[in-house]
Amino acid sequence: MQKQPFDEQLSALVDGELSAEAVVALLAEIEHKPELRTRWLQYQNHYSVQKGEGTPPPRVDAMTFADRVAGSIETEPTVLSPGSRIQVSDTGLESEQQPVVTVKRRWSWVPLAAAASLAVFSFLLLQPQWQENSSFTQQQVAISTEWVEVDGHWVERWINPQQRDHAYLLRHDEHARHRAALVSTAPQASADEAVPVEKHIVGWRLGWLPEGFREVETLQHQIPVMGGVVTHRVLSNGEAVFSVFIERTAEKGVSERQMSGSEQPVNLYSHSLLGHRITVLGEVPADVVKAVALSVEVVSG
Amino acid sequence: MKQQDVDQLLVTQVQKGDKRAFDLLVLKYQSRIIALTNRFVKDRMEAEDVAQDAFVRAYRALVNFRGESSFYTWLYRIAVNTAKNYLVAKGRRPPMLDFDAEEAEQLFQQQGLTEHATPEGELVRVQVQQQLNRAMEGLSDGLKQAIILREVDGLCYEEIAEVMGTPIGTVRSRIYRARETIARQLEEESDYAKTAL
Repeated sequence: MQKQPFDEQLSALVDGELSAEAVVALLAEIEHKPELRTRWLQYQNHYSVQKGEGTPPPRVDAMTFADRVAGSIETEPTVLSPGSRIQVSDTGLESEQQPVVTVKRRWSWVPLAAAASLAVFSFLLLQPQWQENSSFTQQQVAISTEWVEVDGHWVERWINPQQRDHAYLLRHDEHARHRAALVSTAPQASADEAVPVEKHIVGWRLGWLPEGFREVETLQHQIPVMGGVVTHRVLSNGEAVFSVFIERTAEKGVSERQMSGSEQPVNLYSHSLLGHRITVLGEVPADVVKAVALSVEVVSG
Repeated sequence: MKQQDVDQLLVTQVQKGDKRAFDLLVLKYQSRIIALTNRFVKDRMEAEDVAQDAFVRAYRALVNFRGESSFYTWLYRIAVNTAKNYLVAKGRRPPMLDFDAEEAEQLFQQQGLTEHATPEGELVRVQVQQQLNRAMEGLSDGLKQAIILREVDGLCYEEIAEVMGTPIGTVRSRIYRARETIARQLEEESDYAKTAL
């Protein structure tokens, strides 16, 4: 259902008619849909021929070659733009409303700090203390619903009707309460009515970052205790580093913690949004992690 | 928007830490770079190895890329240097292919000069061009006009929208549909050719 828009975006990217924001979402999609890479190559080749620039030489397996290059750079350190390094302010920001970060760090520490954040994040999930200052439910809750944007409104609905019915039988006394919050998967509109436009979550954007900070890496982790994939975004201003973790979960609630043990205390803020838990943690002030976590917005498409 | 701007958009994403954007640049320029290194080393397999090395070097150096020249010009220089170093390391003498990278790119764009302008490369180019022409002929007028204005005349979407008197969204959709139709037709012809063989 989403194939066509992303293909169309790919075509627009060939022509340079795609916004930087859309490029980010498209790159994420390409990772899951290899056929988009093939299409990109085809579009490029046809465009080159139209412009009289030739075609790939015979006997070159284009995808294999690109895969080899991708494999080679897989082990390379992530490229960081030097431009971001000169944005660092020793005094932090003087904004009246925005939290200021003044922690000292160096770029070479970024991968280490990111790994440390992941370790802390994984460790916390295993600890009973996670419940301290937390309203997250302790046990793993099976994911049975998804959030869908219907005509501009986000609604939670069962992933399939069988699960809905099963849940009803198990918890029939709660059915009425749930039903109010869920949208049936059955078609609501008659043939004459306009079909509601449905959009799904295709990504996440950070609505606010402390000045000087930028995303330096996006990673995907498979954490056994969670049973799913966690998106890990690493942000830095060249001195301080913090991480944003986004994971799909049925759990809901808010958690706010501070852990000491290193030079700077590690602050954590976690909350749920549209079936996902957003966790921000790092050696930055508590108000920073909270502001960043609350600024995370969904990208739908 | 020029192709250099498209490249810069992807380069910026790489500089933000997204390796996937570099993959698109590799897919876009690999044929040119392999053909270029092939002119130095004169061996297809070696040329691919040298081209791969050039791309990896480019990735490592991308941190210092300021966009003062186009990405391709910059990549071209790296590929030439990589190929020369390779030949020197092998005790072979680099050929005299020392023309300026910007000049090379201009020639590339203006005259259709390709580094893989070998007889067999030229044959493939002619065949694909013929297939493309056939596929273009099969397009509806709206799709054909949109794709020609874009790919042959080089107009941007806004200009095409003005010429065609349609919204930009329609232009974008038509160009995409034209490309899809062409891609599918070429795939079918390719399958047919394989079956025929």
